[in-house]
Formats: sequence, C-alpha cells, structure tokens
Amino acid sequence: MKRLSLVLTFLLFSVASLVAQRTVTGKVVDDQNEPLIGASILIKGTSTGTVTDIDGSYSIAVPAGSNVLIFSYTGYTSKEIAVGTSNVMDVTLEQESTLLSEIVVTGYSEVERKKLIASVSVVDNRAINNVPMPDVNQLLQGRAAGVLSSAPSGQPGAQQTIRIRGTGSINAGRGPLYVIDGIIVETGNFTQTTNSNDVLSNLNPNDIENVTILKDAAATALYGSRGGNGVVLINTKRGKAGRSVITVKGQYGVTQPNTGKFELMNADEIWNYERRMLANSGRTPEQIEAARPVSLLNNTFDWVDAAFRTGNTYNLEAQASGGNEKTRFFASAGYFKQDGILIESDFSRLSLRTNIDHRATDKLDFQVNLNGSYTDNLNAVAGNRFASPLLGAFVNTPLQPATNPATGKLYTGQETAWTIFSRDNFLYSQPLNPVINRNFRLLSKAAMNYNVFKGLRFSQTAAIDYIAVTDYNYYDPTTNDGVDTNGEVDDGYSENRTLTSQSSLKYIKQIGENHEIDALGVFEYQKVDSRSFFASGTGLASGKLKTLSSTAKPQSVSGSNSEYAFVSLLGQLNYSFMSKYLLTANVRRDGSSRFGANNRYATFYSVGGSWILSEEGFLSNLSVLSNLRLRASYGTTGNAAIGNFASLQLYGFGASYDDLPGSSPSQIGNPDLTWEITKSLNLGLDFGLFQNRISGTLEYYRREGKDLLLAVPVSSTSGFTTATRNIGRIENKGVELTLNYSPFRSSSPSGVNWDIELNFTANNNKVLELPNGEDILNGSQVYREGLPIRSWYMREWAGVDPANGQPLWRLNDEGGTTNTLASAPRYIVGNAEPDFIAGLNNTFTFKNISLSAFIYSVQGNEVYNGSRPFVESDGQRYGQFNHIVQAADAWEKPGDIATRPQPRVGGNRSSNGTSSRFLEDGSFIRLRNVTLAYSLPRSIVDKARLAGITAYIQGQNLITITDYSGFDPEMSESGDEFFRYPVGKTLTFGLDISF
Amino acid sequence: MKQFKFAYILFTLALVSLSCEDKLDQIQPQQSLSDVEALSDLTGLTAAINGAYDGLQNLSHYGRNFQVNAEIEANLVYLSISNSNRFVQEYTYQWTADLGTQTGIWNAIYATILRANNIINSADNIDAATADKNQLKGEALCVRALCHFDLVRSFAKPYTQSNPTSDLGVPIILESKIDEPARNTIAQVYDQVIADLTTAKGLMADKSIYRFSPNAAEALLARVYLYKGDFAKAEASASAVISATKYSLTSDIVKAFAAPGSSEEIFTLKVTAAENRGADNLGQIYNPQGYGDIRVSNDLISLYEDADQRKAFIYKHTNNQFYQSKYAAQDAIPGLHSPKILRLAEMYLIRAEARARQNKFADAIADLNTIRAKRAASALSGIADANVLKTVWDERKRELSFEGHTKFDLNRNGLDMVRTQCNTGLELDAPCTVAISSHLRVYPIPQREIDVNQNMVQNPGYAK
Repeated sequence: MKRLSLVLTFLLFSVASLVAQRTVTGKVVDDQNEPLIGASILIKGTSTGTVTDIDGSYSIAVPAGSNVLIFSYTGYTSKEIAVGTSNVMDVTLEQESTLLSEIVVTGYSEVERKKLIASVSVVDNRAINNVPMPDVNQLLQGRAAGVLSSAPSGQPGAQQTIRIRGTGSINAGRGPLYVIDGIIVETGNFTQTTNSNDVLSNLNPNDIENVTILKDAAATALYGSRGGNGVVLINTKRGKAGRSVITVKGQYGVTQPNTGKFELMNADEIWNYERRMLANSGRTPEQIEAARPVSLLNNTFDWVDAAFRTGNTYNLEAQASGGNEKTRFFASAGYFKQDGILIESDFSRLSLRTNIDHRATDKLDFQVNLNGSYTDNLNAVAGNRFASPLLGAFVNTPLQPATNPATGKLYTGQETAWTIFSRDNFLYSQPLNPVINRNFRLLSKAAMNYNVFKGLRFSQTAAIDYIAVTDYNYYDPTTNDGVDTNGEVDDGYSENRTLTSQSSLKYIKQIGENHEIDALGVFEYQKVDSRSFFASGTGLASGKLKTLSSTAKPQSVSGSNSEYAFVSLLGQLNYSFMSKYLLTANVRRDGSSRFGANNRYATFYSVGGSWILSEEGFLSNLSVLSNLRLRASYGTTGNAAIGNFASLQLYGFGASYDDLPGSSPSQIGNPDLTWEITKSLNLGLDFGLFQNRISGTLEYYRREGKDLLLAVPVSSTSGFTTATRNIGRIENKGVELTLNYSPFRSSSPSGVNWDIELNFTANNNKVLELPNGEDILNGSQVYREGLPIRSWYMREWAGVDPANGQPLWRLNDEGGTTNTLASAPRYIVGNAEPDFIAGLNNTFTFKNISLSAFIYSVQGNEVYNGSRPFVESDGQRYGQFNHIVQAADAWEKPGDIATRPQPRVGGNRSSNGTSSRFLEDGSFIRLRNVTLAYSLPRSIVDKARLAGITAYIQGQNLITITDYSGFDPEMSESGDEFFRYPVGKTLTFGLDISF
Repeated sequence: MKQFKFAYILFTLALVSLSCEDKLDQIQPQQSLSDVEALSDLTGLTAAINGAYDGLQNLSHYGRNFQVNAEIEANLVYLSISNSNRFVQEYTYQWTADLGTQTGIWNAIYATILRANNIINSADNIDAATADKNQLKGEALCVRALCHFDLVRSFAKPYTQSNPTSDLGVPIILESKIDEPARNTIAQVYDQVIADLTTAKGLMADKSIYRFSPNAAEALLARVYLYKGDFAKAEASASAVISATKYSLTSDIVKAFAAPGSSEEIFTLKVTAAENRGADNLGQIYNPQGYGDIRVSNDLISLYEDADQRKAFIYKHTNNQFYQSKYAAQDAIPGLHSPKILRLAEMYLIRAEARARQNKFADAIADLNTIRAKRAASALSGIADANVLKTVWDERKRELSFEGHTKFDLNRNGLDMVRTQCNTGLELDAPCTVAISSHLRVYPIPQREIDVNQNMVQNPGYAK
C-alpha cells in the first residue's frame, strides 16, 4: 500500500528529466510466467520510477550515470539489477517464501505479520472457497488453532457454534463477535418459530478473501465490551489493478447420510424382540400371539430408508475483478442450493456482491461494499417434534406400514389402524407441512479516507446491516399437527437493522532511523433496532390455500420492538524500536444501553510486546534459523451478550385471561448489572527454520472471566427461579500449536511440492467461583467450582445384575449399588470438553495437479447419546419406538453377564433413565475434505484465449473413525445428542473457467 | 476546498458524538414496563389481576399437571403400558426431590403468588374508586389463598394427619422479594388462607363466574375447612353457597362439561380458544386422539349404575380400553377445557361429608340424593350409619372424578391408596398400594429450592 502510494506520488509529481538518457523496456513476471501488474521499477538512488502495465510491461527513461534498477512488488522479493548493454530487461520476481510480509487485518487496523504482537489465526481462501457448505463457520472447523466449531444440526444453513479458546461464560453469550470488512455485524438466529438458521449463511464463502481470528487481548481489546469471546474478522475479496478477470464457477455434488455405527432393527428383529419382552413380562403365549401376531410381518416398512435420501448440491457463480490505478472492483453473483439428506429439507442462496475502491486524489480515496443476499431454507425440524422425519424414522416401528394396504394410500396417522402414538406419518405430513424461513440481508458500507498530511489519515465509515427474516409454518388440516385446529398458518416477520458510524484518525511517524510510532483513535457508534411480528390463524377450508387470509379464525398476533446501542471510543499506540522491539497498547471505552444505569460505561485495555530475536546480532549467524520471535500480551475485554434490558425490573404484557390483556412480572431488575470482564494473558513463540521450510507458532494462554453475568438460582418463593447478577469466575487455559512443514519444495514450478499444515489446541476449562460455592444444575450437567463447565452429573450406571437382569446404579462410595433409579445419587461422570482438537492438512502439487487432504479430529469429549434411551429402552418404549439391533443382546437367564438389562414391556425398572449408561466417548477423526484439482496447461488455455480452467473433485467427510454409537460424532457444544440431524458424506465435481 | 471538507467531516463527527451520549438512557423496552409504572393505575392493576388468573392456567398448575397428578397418583385412572412417557414417575411413585412436574408446581404457584401479592400491596396506592380497588384486592387475595392452599396440600402433610402447629407447611409469601424464607407451620398456612378468603369475601362484588366472587371465596372456605377437619364451619360455608340463588345443579352434566358457563359453576378458570396448547391441552392426556396415556380404571367404572349420567363420561375405545371424555373438547378444540375449580355439586358433597362427620347421617344422605337425582342415579336409602362416610366418598368419586380431588381426598381422610385394577398388563407396572404412612404421600420440597434456600427443610423420608 505504502509502496503503491509512493509510486503514484512519483507518477504525479516527477518531472521528466531532460538530461541525456536512454529508454529501457521489458516485462515483469512471476515464477509462473504470469505478468505482474503494477510492479514498481525505481532507478536506484533517485526518486524516479514507473509501474508495469496490464501485461506486466514497462518502459523507463534511465538517465546517464544511473545504472541500477530496483524491481519490487508486494509479496515478492525485490531485485536490484544493473542496466547492461541491452535496452530490454525482462525480470522474474519470486514470491517471498515466508508469511512474514503478509498483511494481517486486525480489525481497526492492519499490520505486517512480522510486526504482529497479538495472537491471530488467519484462514485463507484456499480453505474456504469452493467447499460445498453454506456457512463460513463450518469451514473454519479445524483450520485454526484455538477455534472449536460445532454444529447442533446438520440441516443445511443451520446455526453453527464457534468457541474461541474455550467457553468463557456461563449464561451470557459464548460466541465470538463477527466483523465483516471492519463492521461489527449481527449473527445468530433471528427466526421466531422455525429453528436453527444462521444469518451468516447468507454470506457466500466464495466471496471471502480470508478469515482472521483474534484471540488474545492485544487484538480483542479494541473490541472492548464485546471482544471477550474472541473476534472473527471476515474480509471479502477486493479487485486488483490490471486485466479484468472473469471466472465462472460451476459445482455439483451428491450427499449421502453418514449413518456411522447406528443400525435399527428390521421388522423381523423388532417382532422377535417385542415377543421376547412380552414373554419376559409374564404374558401367556396366547397373550403374546394376540399382541404380536405373525401376521404383522406381512406388511412392514423401512422408515429410516424413507426418511433419508441422497441430497444434491449445486453452485453456480460468476466473479469479476480488475481495475486500474484509480479504481478497482470485485463483483460476484452466485446461486447455491443444497438439498438435505433428510426429506423436505433444503437451503438455497442467491448472493450479489460489489466491492469498489476508488482513489479520487492522492489524498482522498473511497471504498464502497454492497452485498445483497437472499436465502430460502426448508427445515425438516429435526429433534423434538413428532412430525420430524428424523424422529419419525426412529419412532415408527417397521411393523407399522406407511400405506394402507386396502387403499394403497399413505396413512395420515389419524386412522385407528395407525398404532404409533405420535399419530403422525411424516411421509404424509412432511410434504404438506412446510417449515420455511427466508432471510434477506443487505450488508453495505461506504468509507472515505483522507490523508490530512503525511502520516495522518482520517477515515469515516458508515455501514448498514439490514436483515429481514420471515418464518412460515403450515399445518395441513388432515395431518396430526393441524387436525386439532383444522389447519393452521403461522407467519412471522422480523427485521433487524444495524447502523454503524466509525470515525478514525491514524498517524504514522518514523523518528530517526530506529523509532517508528503509529497511533490510532476511533470513535464508533452503533445502534441496533429490531422489530418483529407474528400472526397465526386456524381453520382452513382447504389444504390448497396456505396463507393467513384463508384461515377462518385469527389465533394469535404478537409483535415486539427492541433496540440497543453502543457508544465507544478506542485508541491504539504501537511503537517499534530498531524493528526488533515492538510494543502495543490498546484502550477502548464502551457505553451500552444494555447495562444498568449505575454501571453503563467501562474501559478495557491491553498491552503487548514482541522481541524479534532472529534480528539480533547474536543469532544472525545461525543460518538454520530464519525467524524467531517472542510475544506477550495481557489485557481485559468484556462480554455484553445479554438481553437488551436485562438490568431493568419489568412487567411483561404477554399474559391474557378470558381474552383480556394481562400482565406479569417478567424480570427481576438489577441496576448494578454490567459486563463480564475477561482478563487474558498470551505468550507466543514464532519460529522458522531452514528458510522457513519449517515454521510455526506455539502459544500459551490463560483467560479468566470474572463478574460473570450469571442467572443465579434464587428461591422460587420469590416468583422467579433466577436473577441475573455479576458473579462468578471461569478459566480457560491452554496451548496452541501451529506447524507448517514443506518436506518437498521444488525449485521448478512444475515439480513436486508437499506442504503440511498442522494445528493443535488443548484447552482446559474450569469454573473457578460460583455464588456461595453452590452447584448450579444445568440439565444433566452441573456447574461446580473446580470442574469444567460442561461436566456430566448424572446417576452412574453399574451394569446389570447377573442374578435377575435388573439394572444397577452406583449407590455410594463403598461399592454399593441399587436397582432403583430414584435412590441412586448423581455423580460427576465425565465432561463434554474435548481434551484436544486438531486439524491436519496435506497439499501435494505436481505440474498442473494438486491434491489436498484435510483431517479434523476432536478427542476426549464425553457425549450423552440422548437418542439411546428411546431406541435402547429395554422395552420402556414398547410398541412406540424401534430399537437398535444391539438391544437384542441383553440379559436372558440368571448368571448372564450382560450389558443390557432384561427387556420387559414397559421397561425394566427405568433402566433407560438418564445415567452414565448412555454416556459415550465422542472422540473422532474425520477425513473432512479431499480435493483433487487439475488445471489445464497454459499452452492449451492460451490457445483457447482463456485465463485458466480448473476442474476438481472433492469429497467431504468420506471417512470417520470413532467409537461413538450414534449416527454422527460431530456434536453440539453441550455434547448432548437428541435425534440430531447428522452431517452427510458429500462428493462434488466442480469447474472454474476464467476469461 | 480541502480544508473545508475536512472541517465538515470533523463537524459531523463532533455532532454524532454529542448526540449519542445520552441516547443510551433513552432506550427503553417496548414490550414491558417497569414494575412501578405497571402497577401505578387501575388499568395497570386490571391487567395485573388478569395476569394472576393467567398464572393459575400455567401448565404446571390448573393448566394440566397439578390436576392430572391428583388423579394419576390415585386409583380412578391408570397409565397405559403404551404411553408417551408422561406422568410415569407419578403413576409408579418413583420420584426424588428433583421431579420435574413437582418442581414445576412449586415454581408456578409461587410465581402466581407474586402476581397476586403485587396487586394486594399496590391496590391501596392507586388513584381509583374504592370499590374498584377492593375488587382487585379481593380477587387477588382469593388467588393467593388458592395458591397457598394448593401448595400446602401438596408439599405438606394433610392437616388432619399431622400436628398442624408444629409440622411444617410451606413458606407464606405476602410480599415480593428475593429471600430465603423458612417453612411456616401447617396451621399458620391454613390460618393465612382462611384470613385471606374471609377478608376477600367482604371486598368483592360478584362480577362473573370466571373471576373470584364472594360466593367463590365462601366455597373455597368450605373446602379449606373440610381439609382442616373443621366440619361445622365447612357445613356452614357450604350451606351459605348452596343457599345462594345464583347456582343450581344442572340436569345434564355431560352438556355442562362440553362448555364453560353451566348453572352450577361457582368459579371456573376460563381457557379460551386462543389459549389452545395443542397436545398439551388438559384433555389430551386422556383423549385417544391426543396422548391418550391415561385411561379409566375399573375401580371407578364399577361404582356407577348404568343409568347414571356420569357414566356417560366413560367410553370404550376401539382398543377395548376405557377413556373419559370430561375434557374431550371445548370450542371444537380437542382437549381444551376450562377447569371448573369450584362448582355447586362439590358444595353438596362437602356438606354431606361434614354432616356425616358430625353424625348428621340422614342430612348427609339427603345431600347426596340431591345430586344423584340430577344425575339420573337412583336415590340412596337404607345406608347404615357406619357406611355413610364411605358412601359420601364414593359419591365424590362418581361426581368429581378427574377433577383433581382424588389424591387429596385420600390424603386428608388418612386412607391408603389402593388400586384394585393393578398390573394386569394394561397398566404400567406400579405399586398397587401406597400406605398413608408412606413418605411418598407428601411431595418432597423441590431439590432446587433446598439448594438455594438455606432455611428450607426437606420433608421426612426424602434424601437431605
């Protein structure tokens, strides 16, 4: 950037020399023989220079006496070449072999990687572009140390959860702050009745240049009260000066369910198993015959097979980029569609983006981003809903046929012949009852930068993020969900508008040879308004009309408005001495409407330093060592992710009686309520060996959240069960390692290259302090001082009594057991925190072929498989749910050493009650992505007058190694599975053509 | 020119910074009001009393669970072997102090008490006519009394089976605050309930059967006195309601249950079509088109004569099991029902029982026959004095079955819970007898309450 402006200055102000001279011409190319556009050529010892044009060509008048030209280009090693006798000089510049000159965007500023003090991970577009997944969060999985990405649902477009350096809060938000092109944006789920939809999936991942993850306080303190859980910066692509390139991308793929080790009984098996249950429960042969006659086997059905299908993925898009020295642009238009592996689930996205940079004068430049997108999501509502095909696949016994043999029509579930309690046949109801949400998002930004004088730059940015979400549910009158009301239509609309204004001043000053200072001051104001309404109507004359207007009776109408605002002032000061000793100091003062009047403003700060040892004289003789740096930072950030009015004592008006409006206390107030504080320490070591063929980063961190915004349990005699207070502490500490190694690095472009990238994170989470030291129960987990936040707290399974086949649970510490669930106390039996997570990527290139394989692994987390109590119920779900095949391997006669109790009708002493019986090791290793790409050789491409053609085949999740007994070990954050929508295996083929 | 531009920018910046400083304070919620504002006038308190009735409709309380628990823990119904896994622990008496429905009942009822207390404590401070203020206060006192009564009969020993002045009841809550209250004695809770109802009686006018009225307060007093074993007062209160001309026994009880508003309702908690909870409507746990988990035991069916109108509530489904239709549908919405919390037939039954307890056997039988005549059941005659009380109890089962009385009737009369139809294969395996001496006859104080309230004492028999 600096270099470019320098060149421009020369262009504008240099006066042609009139002294004797000759003209040198030539071409500057890279090692692939691609022209470098805008490379600068400077006559050494002068301020005269030029830049290459669109073909990489240049022409420069060299005065007599000058005999050396300096060729340079950002990201490439500069060359100084003496002018010989020839007037033609073609030059090849080589890419700088290290990452050190890379510019890292850290939010409000950007910094060269070698000057970086903060802990930052960058995921570049190679890991993000062209992967057939709708949400960039999914693509971060395993790509950056310290980042845990998990998916509560495999539904296309479903909300993902990202945790940076562990879980830092108990009740307030735990997810990172998202910043797109410098603007803090809203993320998450804005739907009202439909579930699990992430507005971030509106962003086309192919538009992303890179994703930068800010992890320590040196980087996040600038985000103050919202930086406590880390920051994810998404930077979109921008145009480069030079020839315009248009790329058309096409991709098609198929997805199949990943069923893992999970297998349900077929009709014969469940029939035999249920007869066995009846016999175990003392039924006479006649009773057994009456309950489960052999005739049931005449008409059976495979429900799992009917629920799942092969999904398709399509992607078609065009990207264009280019420009000149004054104006650069990037534009894209894309259409993405993914059909889920569960019937009646899909996701599609239309996206448009234009990013324009314009330099009006040497002092004034502008930037405009415009991104509009529209997504359409058909949701199969997995989990706790009877009409869900996922639940139905398990609920429905194979002994229940889907169609009425007499009529050949699908059962609606209302017939007496339909024996399943859900009274719903998803094959009938699901196509009739769509659950749809549609998101429209307009993300736009305009920025103006003005160089007031040399070194001082003023910027003003304004941005609008507009999100409109519609929810739509329809329940056909003939289906179980609609039969009570004679059909129902639910229609909801919500919109969310974020306005941001940023004003900043940045000053850079070089003092003498050794001192460099840069300072930044920013004022930011952000206001978020959201409003929503929701209406439903019942009583439909016909299933053909599916709008609110066609309902006979208005059922409910609701609406709400809400808003919040942040006012912030922030500053940063960086100091560099001899380019070896670097210091940074950051401060941000935030005010938010969310907090109590007594504690509305707070200040956050951080300090950090770095020592580049490899620049020191005493190490410069070590030729193996190409880079060695030590970094340290400490600071505070906050977490303001709570309800907009959490501090106020409120009466809500949602109640009603006898159709008259009613009110009720909805919240206990707390005027002292304020942000959570996160204190973080980071120590880092960066190293590079053998010309950076081996390079890496090792980091240690400790972050402590205090004054947690905790929903403290209170006596419910108060009318409330919890009150929000700032109390409690939580700690995350861990080690992160990033390692890059190139076992083969060919000198010729067509040789063999092999690059390995490894990242590894071990995080240790611990609750340090709770109110009065008391445990807080959280379902089957407990928050307890000294234990990880997601510690499983449940009855401990002690196996099956060999004498009578009854279940046993641990009763005490003396080895005692009990066969009564209710008498068994609860114990800590594990936790859902992974011991470590790791990502390993291997890339091979040879000539025009590249092959990459990315492996992702999570190890050491315990998962509660909450589906098993239903499908391994030992008969408690007799006649209701199918059972897994392994369920038949159960206690049969006295003396049997069995893992499962004797199956009985109605269950065996609540043997499927919540206990460690269903707690499993959730560790897995997954071949997340394999890509084989082939680019047509340049000779052919040139003949076809194209810029390039690349074809690729890609496989997602092809191999999974795990002991987990469910469909899919990829788990929601809580580690609690309940009929989760599994992710599938995908195979895609793609073609990129550039003109 | 450039200088001008720069100045303009700085000016804008300054303007923006100045204007947003106090905006943070201006942002206020738009769906809620601060409690001070919400309770400051008649409109606010009128909404608040509706909110209190809304509290009674909570799924944990009269919405379903409180009502259903009183039946499923007793012996007129059974839980089918094929069920949706609801009310399993309740039917099988396998619970610890963390059972969801019991904790839910505790939490929901105290939440309603808070709603009532805020009205009681604010009514005198608003600017409104005395009659209006008294009406609000009276209704809120009744809501609070009903809530305390429902708590004490669930979470404490029956008054008549305890030492009421020393055995623990539940905390009496009279004002809104976050606190760790200790349990009051059973007698103190009953005294508070009676005091609230007695005060309320004098404050209210009779507005509607869907709100508390002086008669409703009197009727609830009758029930409280009966539970307390104060039979003379129970008789007197019941007589007072019976003699009110407003109510009369209906001659078509089946029709009366199809919709709210029959002539014998004293206080009915109105549930409107807009409050349709779908599968969680009260009736859906009974209706075969709903969950249909709870079916009618032969222990009840065998009590009816064929001609008895009330037998018509019980019907045989295609699976040859018996279901009940008291809550079949309202407004054509399956399972929707407005619980008839207090109705005239109960007053006759209270009076009959109180009279039998005071050895006025003939009067007791006369009260029963008044009801039976309206239900097309034959008149009782020739009942030995020693059998009158049991006869009253049987009539209560016939009349009030599924209405949330059965378990409490067994408790207050010190009877073992005996299921004759038991473990036949139709029902979930469960105990056939739970003796009155069992600790399970009284709910545990919810574990979460024990955990957060250092002054809370657990009931006997439950793990500390």
